[in-house]
Amino acid sequence: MKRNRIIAGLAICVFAASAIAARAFPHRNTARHATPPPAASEMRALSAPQVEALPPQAARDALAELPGVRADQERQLIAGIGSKSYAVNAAPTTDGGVCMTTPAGGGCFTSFAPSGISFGVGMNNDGPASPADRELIAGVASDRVSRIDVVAGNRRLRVPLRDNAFVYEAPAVGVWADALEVGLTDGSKARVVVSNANRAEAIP
Amino acid sequence: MKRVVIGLAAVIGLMASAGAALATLSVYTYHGPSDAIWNQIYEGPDTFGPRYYNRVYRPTGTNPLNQMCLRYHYNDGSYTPWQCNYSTNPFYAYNGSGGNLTAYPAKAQCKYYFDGGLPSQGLANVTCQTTVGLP
Repeated sequence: MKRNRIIAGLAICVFAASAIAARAFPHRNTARHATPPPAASEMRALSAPQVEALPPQAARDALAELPGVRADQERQLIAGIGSKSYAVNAAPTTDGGVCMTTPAGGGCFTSFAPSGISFGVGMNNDGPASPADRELIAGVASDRVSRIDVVAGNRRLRVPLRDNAFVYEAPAVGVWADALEVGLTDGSKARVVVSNANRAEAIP
Repeated sequence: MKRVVIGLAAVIGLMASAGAALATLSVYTYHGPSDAIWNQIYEGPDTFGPRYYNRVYRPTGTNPLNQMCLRYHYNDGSYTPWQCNYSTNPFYAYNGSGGNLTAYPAKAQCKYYFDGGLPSQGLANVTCQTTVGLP
């Protein structure tokens, strides 16, 4: 009888301790259980009927070279942005990830970071670097993302975001993004630092 | 007349052999040192030649400073702008149409970069690749 009481008491202590620990260390608990969902499951545009045109052949060829890409589900997500009518193309992979081609690079990733975006940074020029080049940022966004702004010094510039993809071309030479401010559908915001390797480099 | 025919045949022969050389694609892999260094450039084949596309395999892990960059370096000293990325693996450089960024004659370069980083920040197992040749 006494032994049962001791066991019951111990069980209550363990329960209470775990409840206290859960309140004290919420991130530790969520980190253990919160495996981020596959990226493709967070991009409705990849499973929606094709609205935009198919990706151009060059982009389709590039996507087809990526590992595990489902070439039959390629999408052009956003197009016609900026000085050279930039676009972002993407396709899901067999393991639920996403592959993309953008004018600022691309490739594949398995899940979104908490910010809900995956992107590349470059310039609006494919040839030799020139003093006339402007910054270019392009990528994809999860369904959790409702708005993206570039923070450049004291300027805040709205980024075109459509069908889970975005493209930003700086409005002028020398306007450099310090960060992307991402508005999420739950009302919160995430700030993603942008570090453009071209910013500090002199053009020969 | 005979000279013209021989000249034409020679030109066609040269063009065909050049075409065959460009159509042969091979992947050249180059690595950063075992402990890669921030803002250090790693270079592809020493000779300038046709380059079909560049890519970089980043080390796995969650280092938030793990930004990898790619560009081409031309034989006249000029170079393409860097393209950089934090999250895709592999990361490929593309052109404005979303296709492979090609260059000729060029060397491939990649680097690990973050503006706020420290030169001592190490990153192991960076693998960069360039595809030599043009289809």
